[in-house]
Amino acid sequence: MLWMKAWLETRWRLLYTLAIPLAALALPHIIGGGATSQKAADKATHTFMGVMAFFSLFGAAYLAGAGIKSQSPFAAMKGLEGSMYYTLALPVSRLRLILVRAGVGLMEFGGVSAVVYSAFWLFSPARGSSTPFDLLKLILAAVASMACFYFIAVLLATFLDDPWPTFGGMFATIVVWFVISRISPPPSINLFGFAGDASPLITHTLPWPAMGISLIASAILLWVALKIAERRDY
Amino acid sequence: MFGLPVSDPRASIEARRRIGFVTEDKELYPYMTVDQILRFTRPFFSTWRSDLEQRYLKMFELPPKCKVADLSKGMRSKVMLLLAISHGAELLILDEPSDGLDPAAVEEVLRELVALSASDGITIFFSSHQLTEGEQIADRVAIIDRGEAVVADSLDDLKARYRRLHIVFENELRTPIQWVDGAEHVRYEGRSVSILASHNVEELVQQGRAIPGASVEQFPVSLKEIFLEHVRSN
Repeated sequence: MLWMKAWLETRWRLLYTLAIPLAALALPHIIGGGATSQKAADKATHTFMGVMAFFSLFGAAYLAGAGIKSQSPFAAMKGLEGSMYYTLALPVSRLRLILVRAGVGLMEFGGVSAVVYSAFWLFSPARGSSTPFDLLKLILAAVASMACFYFIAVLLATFLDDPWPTFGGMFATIVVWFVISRISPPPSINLFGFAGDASPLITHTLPWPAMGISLIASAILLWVALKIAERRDY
Repeated sequence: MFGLPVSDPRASIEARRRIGFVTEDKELYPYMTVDQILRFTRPFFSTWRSDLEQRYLKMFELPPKCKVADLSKGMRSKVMLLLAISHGAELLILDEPSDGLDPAAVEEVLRELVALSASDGITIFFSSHQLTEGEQIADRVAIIDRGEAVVADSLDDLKARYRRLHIVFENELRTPIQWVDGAEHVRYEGRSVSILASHNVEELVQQGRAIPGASVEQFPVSLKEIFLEHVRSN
């Protein structure tokens, strides 16, 4: 039943996270509908990937909210935040509470990425010579590379009230983005490489190093979040 | 609690399974309907009592399709009571359970709690600022002032032990009297003195009567009087 609770708490977030990039796809210069040459199509692909990387980052922070403190953004706006005590009084471990909530958000993030990248791939002539298998790789690469940003918000949500984990997650994301753009790491280890030169649509391979870095960082962030939740006196 | 170390996460889960809890702020998941929150909570407790659920759902006139966010505080109190009672708890911890209820509903709830305790042997830990409620249903009471228990005893013993003595003198006293042990709070008002006695009542009466021209009357005291005297003196 914790899955039902997590779904009820995140369904509006999911809708917004899905609606905005899908609406962006309707813009011709993003989907590359008017591209007449390969160069124009590649440019459209880069534009779309940039837009998607941007939305993935903010979508990840928005969908996270996997903490014990945060419940629903609407509830927080109405000042109804005390349901945390009801949750904590249930005969459930804090570990399970966080894992279920983080799991639901991560699945939703994966779902949003799958829908939006698939829509782009289906409708944009900019997909070039890529195959459906490359599309699957792109979705995997996007979710794995962005997972660490998702888990920053998960960590923040263990001790911050809504909506601060989302804002905090976005701020942390901007900082990391800024740092990466300044040091310009090789595309294979760049967390945003999947949306650029290391995109599986272009390279036809998964950016394993970047995915590995992100997944290791995610595991560390989740471990810290679980430790905080376990020891914290709410 | 129940012989279980609550600092141990596993034992804490077992303890929570056996405890029904009504929080002070009565906050539940605002996005769930009454029916949804029942469906959500039920599977966590193998001891769930569907008979009690149906009985109190009807008695409290709770609308199953209404969202928690749209319920008044009194109705939310009833939902929390319903959830706490229905899971077959051995211990109910109720923090201001009558908050927001009209006087008729308060009577109804208190009557049901007494009946439940008598029929199912449930221990009820009832915290309230409404002392008359405690007086109505409690076997044992504790008065907490600034985090410290200033009184803790069985209600019958308290009522048997405590007396208000009203002593009227012929003339105004020139020097205060050194009363025997048991005079908890002494208040002089002109030719009279009011004493809240916690024990040694007979000795205090004899001491009063020994004063030439003094008349002594004694009265039973309510829990509210005991509380007020203790709080005022602190």
